[in-house]
Amino acid sequence: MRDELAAAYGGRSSVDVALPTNGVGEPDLLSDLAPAPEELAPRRAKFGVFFWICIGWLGILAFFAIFANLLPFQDPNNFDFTIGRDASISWHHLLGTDQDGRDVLSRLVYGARTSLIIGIFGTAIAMGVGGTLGMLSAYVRGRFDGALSFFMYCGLAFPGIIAVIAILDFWGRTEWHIILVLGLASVPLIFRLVRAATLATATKEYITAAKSQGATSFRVLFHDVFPNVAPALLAYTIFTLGGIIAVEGAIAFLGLSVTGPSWGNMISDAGGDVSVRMAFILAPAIALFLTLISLNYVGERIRVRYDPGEVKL
Amino acid sequence: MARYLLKRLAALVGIIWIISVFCFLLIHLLPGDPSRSILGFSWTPASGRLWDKQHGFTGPLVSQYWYWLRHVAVGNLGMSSSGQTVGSIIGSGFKIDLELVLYSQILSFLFAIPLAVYAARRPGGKMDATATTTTFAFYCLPAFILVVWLVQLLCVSNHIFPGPSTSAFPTGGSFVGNVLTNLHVMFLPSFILAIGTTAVYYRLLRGEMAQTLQEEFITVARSKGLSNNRILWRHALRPSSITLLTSTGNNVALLLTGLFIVELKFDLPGVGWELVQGVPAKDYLLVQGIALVTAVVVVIVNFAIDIITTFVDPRIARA
Repeated sequence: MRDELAAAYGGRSSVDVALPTNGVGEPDLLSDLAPAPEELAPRRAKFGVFFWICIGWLGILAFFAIFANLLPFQDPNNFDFTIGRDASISWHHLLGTDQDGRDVLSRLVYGARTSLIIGIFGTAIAMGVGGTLGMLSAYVRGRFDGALSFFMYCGLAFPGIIAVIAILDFWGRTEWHIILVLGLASVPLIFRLVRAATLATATKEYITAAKSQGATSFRVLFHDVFPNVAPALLAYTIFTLGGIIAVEGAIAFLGLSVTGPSWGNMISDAGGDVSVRMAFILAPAIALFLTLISLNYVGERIRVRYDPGEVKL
Repeated sequence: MARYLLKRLAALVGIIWIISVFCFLLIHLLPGDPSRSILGFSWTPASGRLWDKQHGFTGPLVSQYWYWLRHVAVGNLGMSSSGQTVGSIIGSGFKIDLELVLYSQILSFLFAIPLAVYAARRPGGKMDATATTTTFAFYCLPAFILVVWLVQLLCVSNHIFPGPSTSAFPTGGSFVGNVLTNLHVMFLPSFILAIGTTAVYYRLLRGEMAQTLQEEFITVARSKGLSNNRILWRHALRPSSITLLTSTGNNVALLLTGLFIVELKFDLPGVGWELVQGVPAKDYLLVQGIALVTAVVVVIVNFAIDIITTFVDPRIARA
């Protein structure tokens, strides 16, 4: 059976078929042409243990960020007069206090809340605007696509960080302004990625088949195109979340983000005095590092699983 | 080829025009009054109106844009509130940015290319796994965390490199010193910038190399008995490097965030440093000028890289 299939597909002998992969760890085109009948469905890459560890960390982070004010944490802005500033680790302050005598653990948890709120809502704006336009643009094509792509290319060349710094300072640095500005600054990149992913799907035969059967544009877009682009969209959403959280950290470090507790603020507040405030700088740095590694890894695994043609990280 | 280049050139002009509109609107969308911030204490309603009139801030938006564009086209970006022209501030800061970008990209290529070439030799092997994991971890470390730790480790605890706020980094002045001192002083800021892009370049080149090594001409080279190193460096690297070249252009725009952080923390008076000083001072024209110049430079760099790729691989022009 295998040999017959192989012969039918390209006349290759069973010797060639016996090589399951091309050595890059990706399915070889030639052996893919001659699958055993029970293997006709493409085998998907497993997520692996580290993926679930990352999901676990993100879950813990989300839990503390959501329930921060219900859990027995201290007020993150409260100066503890009994202990004072730069206190070391104790039962009362599990990670010590910072240079203003505030509890580091509680600032860390409330900082997670800031990061996640800005990250999630910023990503929602970026995906809502960039993702929708990207899908439409790739589906509609023609002049609409040309004009929009050109405009987005200009947006991509425009240094987003300058606009972010300038607009936030002149406009006031409230949480919602930061969300809006960081979200909109990510639109051109999302647009380009989603457009490319949709274009790859929208030019497939089954889309032509659906169209020729008289399916409405709405139906083709949501019934045929969207489900096939969805995994890529999910991966980009997760990458964008990581990207916005990192940029928020950077502008907080430059002293341009919210005035409340934020990981970037915590690192910048310490004034670079690493030796004295070890735990105080280490805690937000590690939290941010773990969060970014988790988001990037989870996004990468999802992308690889549903799009094995591309190169793995 | 000529037709392709002309088409690209027309697109370049269009893009720069749209960017100029963005930059012009940046000032007009921002709340506040430029004349008030630039005149400072000498601002009165009358002197403000006079300033507006002298600097083309009166009349309909289109004529204001036209006035601004005519001045920008001859290199006049206006006066900063510090009394210097915006052009001279950007001119002196730009040298530092240029050095940081070039230095960091050279370092980045020095790390990424050998890693990727040897990792791609045995995909899934030990070398590949180690390099891939390490670069991924560094990719997830934002520049502002690296700045804090590397400065502590290499400047404060061990005096290997001069740290921020030492005489090696003259705040606000021009950056001088002979070549070796300069390279030594600028190493750490550039290295911090290089770490982020190394991961991106490694990843791209490794993927491309792994694919190229599956090609038939590599099998031919192997069967000719060429050494492994010769195949990797002479036969596989060049066709694999096109994507790398293209992504370098895109990375220049992404480098800016890291550039600003490094300049601010090391007190290097580059364009990013000037921007972070200018924004709280409500220096509208400086911010506008920096946005315009940076965007135009990014576009031109991308254009230049497009042209270079066309010469490296002429098939692109025909597609």
